[in-house]
Amino acid sequence: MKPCRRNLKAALAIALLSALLSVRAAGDEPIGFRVVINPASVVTSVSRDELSKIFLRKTLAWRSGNAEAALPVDQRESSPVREVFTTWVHRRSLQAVLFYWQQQVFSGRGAPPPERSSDTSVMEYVAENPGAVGYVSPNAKLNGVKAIQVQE
Amino acid sequence: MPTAVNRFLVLVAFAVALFPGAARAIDLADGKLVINGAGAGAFTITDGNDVFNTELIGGHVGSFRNAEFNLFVAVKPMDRVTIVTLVFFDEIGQIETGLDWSFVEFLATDWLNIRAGEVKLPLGLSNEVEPIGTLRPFFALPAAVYGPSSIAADTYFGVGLTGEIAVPGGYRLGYDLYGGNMSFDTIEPFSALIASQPSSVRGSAIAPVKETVRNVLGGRLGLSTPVEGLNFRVSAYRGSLVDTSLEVLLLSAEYLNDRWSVRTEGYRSAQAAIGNINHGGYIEVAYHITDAIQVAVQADAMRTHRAGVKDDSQFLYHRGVAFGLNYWFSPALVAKASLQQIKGNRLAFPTLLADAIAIAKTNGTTISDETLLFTGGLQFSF
Repeated sequence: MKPCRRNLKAALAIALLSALLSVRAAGDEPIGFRVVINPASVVTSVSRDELSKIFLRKTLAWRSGNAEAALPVDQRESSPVREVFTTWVHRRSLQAVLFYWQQQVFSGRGAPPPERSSDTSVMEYVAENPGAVGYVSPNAKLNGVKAIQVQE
Repeated sequence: MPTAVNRFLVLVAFAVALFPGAARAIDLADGKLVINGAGAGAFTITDGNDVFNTELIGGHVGSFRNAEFNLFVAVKPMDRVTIVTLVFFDEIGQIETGLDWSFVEFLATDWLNIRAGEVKLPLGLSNEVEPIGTLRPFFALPAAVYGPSSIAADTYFGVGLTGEIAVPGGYRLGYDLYGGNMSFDTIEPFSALIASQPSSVRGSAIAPVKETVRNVLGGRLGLSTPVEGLNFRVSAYRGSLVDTSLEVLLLSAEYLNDRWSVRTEGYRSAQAAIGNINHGGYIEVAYHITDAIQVAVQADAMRTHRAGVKDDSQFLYHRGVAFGLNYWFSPALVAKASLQQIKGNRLAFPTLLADAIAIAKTNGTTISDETLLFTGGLQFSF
């Protein structure tokens, strides 16, 4: 194999490895959002799968936390944080999730979580409701809520 | 001439387009009361025969009388109890208003919900969301399956169980089981060929008729695969008509992603005691060229075997091919236009059919078995 092709293959491998490592290490949540819960909750971490089910209303209670009712709160469709959260947690595009909710709502099978227009209003909702969970910008100043880790 | 209902719907549609931030559910008391809505209005015209579908009627005189507005209200009086209601205002041929369905749902566990009341019939891919035009590429659902073809009732009145469970391998299995009574629209142009039928009398008009099915037991199994957007369903029910049993089996598959929408369904229904057999199906493919512009193509067909009517009758089969072009202002508002070529008179025929048959016989001609239907309209949801 010619030296330039070997170098190209090595460069691509390094770039791919760097990209994989830069997503996050196991146990760390991605940099695009932080998950916040009511401070009275005993939950300390949540898996991505459980978080997705909570926000898609496929499960109504926390697996940990004494099976307390889980009350998710979304941000508005136009929020960049929601787009990142949707892609990482649900592994779908925002359009796909909105389509899912249209089908659920209009077949009478469920209603989406309430929406709030800002990090502040999300934190207000979470602080007021035991069992509530929301997400905010990574640099949002937490007020009345606590952040938890999201495990892959 | 656009009717008052159409003018109202156009105003609502433009409101949805101009204020997309407002195009979301009305959510009160932190989700305890949620109001959603959907509407549609269309102009249709054919080159001769009248065309019948559940959300659309077309004739050789162009008509704006294809409009509907639906309000969905969900109330949560308690955490695990939801009351869901649909109020409709229709002008599909004639003006109708009423309560389409209304039921109570109790969330027993994560995988079991119990429903009771007038419940939307879980059949196939689209029966539960029939009024929601923003969930499909064509204005109307494929007539061969969801039209007045004797299988797709709007609702059942009874009790049902529904839920979804995770299956190893990343699959999810959704299920519905139900029992009760239902009624659906059926249209039988071939009855004009049977001397004992009222529709064979000159001056009588063929129109959809409501058939009631009692003692229904049915269900639907849905498999969501690990491939996002790839789903399969099988639906079936059995019940009793006045003079026979009715058995229906429907198989469905779809693949949906941000660009592609591919759906296909096929069914067989049998009223064995009186020798009525129907089978039909469709395939539909749509593609977003851009986020806003979508092209679509659909082919559907149905065949009826009816005791007392020759099997080669043009009134026993339907074949359609449609091409559509859509402009999505947003996921909640879309303008659609389509052209459909129909062969066969199972769902496309002169309304005063007995007269048309008699005139054709006198003149030595035949009723055209080809129909071209144009549909252009707006659909929205919030």
